[in-house]
Amino acid sequence: MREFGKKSEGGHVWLAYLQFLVLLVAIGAGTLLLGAGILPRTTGTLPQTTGTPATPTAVPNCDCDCSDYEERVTVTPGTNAKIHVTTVIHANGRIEHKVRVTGRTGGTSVDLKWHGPQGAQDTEASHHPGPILPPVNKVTWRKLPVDANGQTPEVTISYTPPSDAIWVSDVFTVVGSGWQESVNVGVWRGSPPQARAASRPAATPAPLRRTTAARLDETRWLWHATLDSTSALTLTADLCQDGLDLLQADTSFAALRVPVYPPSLVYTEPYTLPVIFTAELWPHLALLDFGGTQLLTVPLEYRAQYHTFAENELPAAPGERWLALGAVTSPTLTCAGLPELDWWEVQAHVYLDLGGTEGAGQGAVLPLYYCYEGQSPPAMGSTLLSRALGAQVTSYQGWGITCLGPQPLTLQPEFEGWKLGGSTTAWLTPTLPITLNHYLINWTGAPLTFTLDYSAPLAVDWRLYGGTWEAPDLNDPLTPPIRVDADGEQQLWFISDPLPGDTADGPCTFILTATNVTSPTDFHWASDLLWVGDWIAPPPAPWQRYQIYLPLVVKSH
Amino acid sequence: MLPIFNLGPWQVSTYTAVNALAILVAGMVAFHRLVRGLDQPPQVVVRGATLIILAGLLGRYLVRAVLVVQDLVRGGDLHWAGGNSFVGALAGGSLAWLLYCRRHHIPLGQAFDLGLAAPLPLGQAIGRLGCLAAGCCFGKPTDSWLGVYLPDHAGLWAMRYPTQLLAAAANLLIFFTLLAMERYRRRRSPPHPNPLPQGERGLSPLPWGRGRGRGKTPPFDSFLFLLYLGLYCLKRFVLEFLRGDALPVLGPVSWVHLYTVAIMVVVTALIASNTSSVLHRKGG
Repeated sequence: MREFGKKSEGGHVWLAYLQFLVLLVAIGAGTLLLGAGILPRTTGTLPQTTGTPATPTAVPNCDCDCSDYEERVTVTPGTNAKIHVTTVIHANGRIEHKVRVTGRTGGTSVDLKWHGPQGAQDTEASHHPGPILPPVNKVTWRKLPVDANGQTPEVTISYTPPSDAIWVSDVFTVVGSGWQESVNVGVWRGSPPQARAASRPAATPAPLRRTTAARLDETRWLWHATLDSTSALTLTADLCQDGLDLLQADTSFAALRVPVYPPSLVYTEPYTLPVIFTAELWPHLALLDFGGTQLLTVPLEYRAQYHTFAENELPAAPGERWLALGAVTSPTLTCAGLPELDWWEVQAHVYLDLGGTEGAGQGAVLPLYYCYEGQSPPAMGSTLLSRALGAQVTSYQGWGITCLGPQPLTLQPEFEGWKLGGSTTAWLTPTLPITLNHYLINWTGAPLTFTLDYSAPLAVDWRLYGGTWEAPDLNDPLTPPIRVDADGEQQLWFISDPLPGDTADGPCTFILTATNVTSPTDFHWASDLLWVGDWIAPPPAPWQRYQIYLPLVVKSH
Repeated sequence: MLPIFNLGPWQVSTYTAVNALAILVAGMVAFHRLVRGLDQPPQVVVRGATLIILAGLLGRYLVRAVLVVQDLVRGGDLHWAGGNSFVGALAGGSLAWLLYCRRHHIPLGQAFDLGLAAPLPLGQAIGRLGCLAAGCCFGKPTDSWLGVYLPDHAGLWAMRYPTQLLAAAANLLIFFTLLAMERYRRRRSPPHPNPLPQGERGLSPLPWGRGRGRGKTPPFDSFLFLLYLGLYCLKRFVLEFLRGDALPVLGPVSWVHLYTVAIMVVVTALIASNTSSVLHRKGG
């Protein structure tokens, strides 16, 4: 540093250092501001914000020097935009929504999208240049200006719903710079669905292989389901493409009943849909290989056209609404170039924000159905999805749609203290024994003792063994109560006698409950779906019979 | 992991903040080296170093603009999906620096050795900590002893290879290796009493490397920069096997493997050929 202070041709060296330092600080500050790296802090519940997934195909999701171009994990902008919808049902049956977006949008304009019911006709929209081209149940208002008060103009959309629809569902989505938010507006045109649903028989809970929900933060949950290739089904590019085509064909979807905010006592009142669509957290299916490398990503989107069906035909509950999710139908994805995989796994990642609902959903059990159009399971080459769908308890067939479920999705923190895990789907063959695996994990830091109760509608005796994750240890029979050491685990292998040859075909559920002996109210349960014999398609919905009571008056003599 | 931190009434992206810090530190190191190593007035260096950074930032985001245009052409939707590219930054910064040096008759090889070779890995080492905070560039899940409980870009926590930390450590190692190499060569090669004419000592394989040597960046100008490229590609090649976001094109080989191998081959050939030329001249 001898040069410091030396006056040269360009001036003092220390002055140059100072100048350059100031320049660097300015550039750094500019990077922070231009790159949305610094934003006003938000308070309260997390908004459902930020943009759609950038690229729907398999891309490296990183922000670093992994390739020539990369995805960027950006900050969730501090927005609190809300969609306000006022709905009018006209005497001629037309439905009219007046929609306005208010709140901090983080920009001077937003895009607003409407997705109405299938079969909507004569759609008219304000603030929309030109005629509305098919499909007329979708309209997008681009670059709606946001004024200084954070309000957009009020736009109007009106349409004639299908004449036989007693319930229609509309989804409005506002898209800002890097964020989006949706609301669902249901319009009831018949008798309340709760009354109809109340008379429905309760369906048997049934699990799909390894489906869990884990808490991400105070209000957000990760719904995580995995379908793997334990049955040694080699996945080829053709088979993958079959599955992808089916998923994108708009004929299969998952229906999930979720608590909503506000609870929407009035059917026309809008409510917030809980699925999070942000740059980091967006619903998707992912195909992984043995090493865990993500080979293909399929974004999911709302299937608004099935909301109506779900609200009408699947069991309802106060304060809860159905949503339908399916793979994006556009752009068309491809499995081209996928190597042949002996071991593969499909993971579903759906992030839910239940902020505003009671306890942010803590402890709620959300029924989940897998549905497809038609009566037979979808044929997909070598039955990729049907393996997951066909194993579920059939509970409903109507409107030309078959739904399998419910699969209960319990919202509870993953690290609550202890956990009863394991959830198997198994085809059973009479005369062979049944083996089911569950496990207890204790994170409490102190030993715990559990009683076990189980029920299974099969005329077989069960024995319980310990063992490893891979196999039971027949030399280690267990007798409840079961003690699990601090921060330890205990494998529970249930092995039955051979299944009698005259066991009836069809589904049944093995339900296991573990209860902490020191606290009878501290219990968890897990279930396995057992299917005896071949797949039997559910019968179509029976004719409904109505009894009519006429105002008869007994004539007095 | 910690994608955002609160600073009073502001929410700050950890990733961007750490990157800004990386630019600050690496920029100051580059500036210091250029002021001391180049025989140029400080103001010339100030302008040049500023130009490198601005052009690097431009190149970093310009690559993503290609995707924006692509989306615009395909779907008519103008939408900035975010993202950046280190390769774009390197190309942008290098091109600007090259043109600037040409204009001011600065020996290019020395300029690249001093201004880019050592500061870049230092900046990358710091920047990787931002990746760790954001969860990008995440590693594959693993049961090995290397596993650290970390999230991926989607916030899914698992025992993963800590690729960001490994990359940061590797970049630091490259940084110190380059410094050690520079110091070692400087000790072994005392300055010439008289500067050699243009091209005499400029044994650089790159056209811009034929500068007037002062005996400070042997064995040939741009050697350090080439060494940095080679070591960076080697590091990238190895870590790509551990990354969870690698996109394989042929078995476990991704296209990053392919281009890093290509660069390593070219760099190795250039270093070998020019070292051989140096030895030959000495022998002759």
